[in-house]
Amino acid sequence: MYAEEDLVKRCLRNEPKAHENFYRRFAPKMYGVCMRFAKNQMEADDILQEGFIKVFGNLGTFRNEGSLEGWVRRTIVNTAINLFKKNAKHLKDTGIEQAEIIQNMEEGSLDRITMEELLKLIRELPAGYRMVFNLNIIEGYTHKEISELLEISENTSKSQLSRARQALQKKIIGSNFGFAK
Amino acid sequence: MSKRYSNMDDFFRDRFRNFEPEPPDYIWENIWRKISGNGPDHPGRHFKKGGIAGITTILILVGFITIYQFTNNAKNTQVTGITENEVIAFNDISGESSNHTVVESPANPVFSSPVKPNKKEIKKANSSSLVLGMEKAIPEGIVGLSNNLSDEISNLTADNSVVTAEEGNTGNAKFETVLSDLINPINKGITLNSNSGLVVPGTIGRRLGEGTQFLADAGDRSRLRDDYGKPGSWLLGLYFTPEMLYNPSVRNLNTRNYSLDVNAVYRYSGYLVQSGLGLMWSSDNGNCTVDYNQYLGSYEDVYNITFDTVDGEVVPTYYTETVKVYDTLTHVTISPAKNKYTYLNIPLLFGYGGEGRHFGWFFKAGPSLSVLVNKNVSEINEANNPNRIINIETEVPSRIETNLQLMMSGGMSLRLGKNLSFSIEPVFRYYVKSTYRPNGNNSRNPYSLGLRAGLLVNF
Repeated sequence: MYAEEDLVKRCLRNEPKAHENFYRRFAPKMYGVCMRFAKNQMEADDILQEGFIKVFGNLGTFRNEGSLEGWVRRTIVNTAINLFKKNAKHLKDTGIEQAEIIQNMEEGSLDRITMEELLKLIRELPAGYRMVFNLNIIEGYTHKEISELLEISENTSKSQLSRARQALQKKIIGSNFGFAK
Repeated sequence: MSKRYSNMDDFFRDRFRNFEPEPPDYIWENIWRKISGNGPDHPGRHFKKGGIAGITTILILVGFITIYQFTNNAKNTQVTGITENEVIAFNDISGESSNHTVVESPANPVFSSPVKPNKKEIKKANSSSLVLGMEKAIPEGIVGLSNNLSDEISNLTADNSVVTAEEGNTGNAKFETVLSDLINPINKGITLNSNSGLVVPGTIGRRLGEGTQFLADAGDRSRLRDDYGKPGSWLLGLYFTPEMLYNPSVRNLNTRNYSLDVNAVYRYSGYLVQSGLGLMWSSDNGNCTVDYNQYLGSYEDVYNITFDTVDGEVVPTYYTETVKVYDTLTHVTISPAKNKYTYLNIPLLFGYGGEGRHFGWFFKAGPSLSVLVNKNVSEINEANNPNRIINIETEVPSRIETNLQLMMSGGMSLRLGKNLSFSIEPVFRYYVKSTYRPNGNNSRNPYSLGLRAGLLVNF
């Protein structure tokens, strides 16, 4: 197993197996990211493929100042954003609604939800909701950053997130997973 | 063991933290094919094939035209071998040639010349005169001149007879009159091209009917001959070309080229060679994503203290350094990036074209070399930026210094004056290699489409 810096250098020198090694190291984690952003598995495959091509193409610009995984992740997320922007209709500016927060959920009851079911919940969200939810809640982007990335207003980003939360909450409760509220 | 979540967000974060499904194997195979350039769906390959097919087509076309030209020349030169029994020679079509021509009656339509024209006369006929070898066909071109006249000729030549020049033979007066009438309108309407050696072996009608070198206006013909007909003419052209560059490797990259070229064009019998110098201004417009940690402030960190005794008192000396404090969260910002490049263009084009009275047509193809002479690349000014930049990801890759293109264009020209013409031509450039520095995925060959407008001066 190569060190990250060494692996990058080997990839840049086009050494055999270096690219594959690189891919094998990060692909599962990135595929998880893609699965969350995509509306189905085929789209997830496309994002992963396109994203890694972009990663290998821009590897020379990696400065070794942050973590390599973080850099790859941002590239994959950017690829998902580009795909979203290409396909998405204009997101409507809607008012901000305060999300209801499910309090005191216990893992014991949540354990019943499989990852497939969680993914299904997220994938059933409208594309805009799903994108903002992923970017803000999972990836940690601020609404200002999301607004720049998606070319929408901050208020739109906030309202999309609020609606995403509401929708997820309804789905979870409606699915009778046995949460205590 | 029970874990409580304060809200739904934590629940999702926690569950997805270690979500690492194994992707299907074919994804890596596709990625490898793309980055190694061996993909079956590599768009550049199609363009390579398209480029080769285009060039082959042009070469075949040029070859065909060349063969056609030589074939025509060969036909014309055969006239030198035609015997006096086979031709009617109008040695001086603008003079009184009809007086020298006597033909027999239609009843005995084979004529012979009792007086052999000497070689000089034959040569003259080939180079500057209309030579007619009348076979059975009715000259359609003459029909255009005089229906009655052509009808009469039709009657006279309907029996596959060969009409030849015969000096000193007194033949049928009717046919003599017909020929005289035939020549007169030609005298009025036709000026022969002495440079191109227009002769009409075989059927006059076929030749004149084709109309390829027939001009009703003698004055126009003379003028066109001066400008275009003479071999080895030079033109100087000033061209302006706006183009859109498409790069299959780089998405969302909006590239425009503007070229200003001064080219010399050498024309010889329709063929042309074009070369010169030009400047091409090109710009790549895209976005630049910057990940950074925000600068929050600074403090002085004491890294050493020494104590000295001054006048019996202990005085501490603090050694400090400024430590900048950054937000631990990574922020991202997207800003537009525009890279500008200036290239020196050196094209070498070969082509073929034709000219009419007002319009001309042409097509050209050949290599064009572009050398980078200046660039203005957008860069993040890190020195004046207090924030700590972690990563810069740009959609706008940097370019290489030299690139070679294969250019193809075809268009038309419009005469604006005796020595001035305007041309317009769609231009296709296929870049033999990428304009950008190779870094894995941008190895595909770009191509551009543009419209070239030019002003040409004839010399």
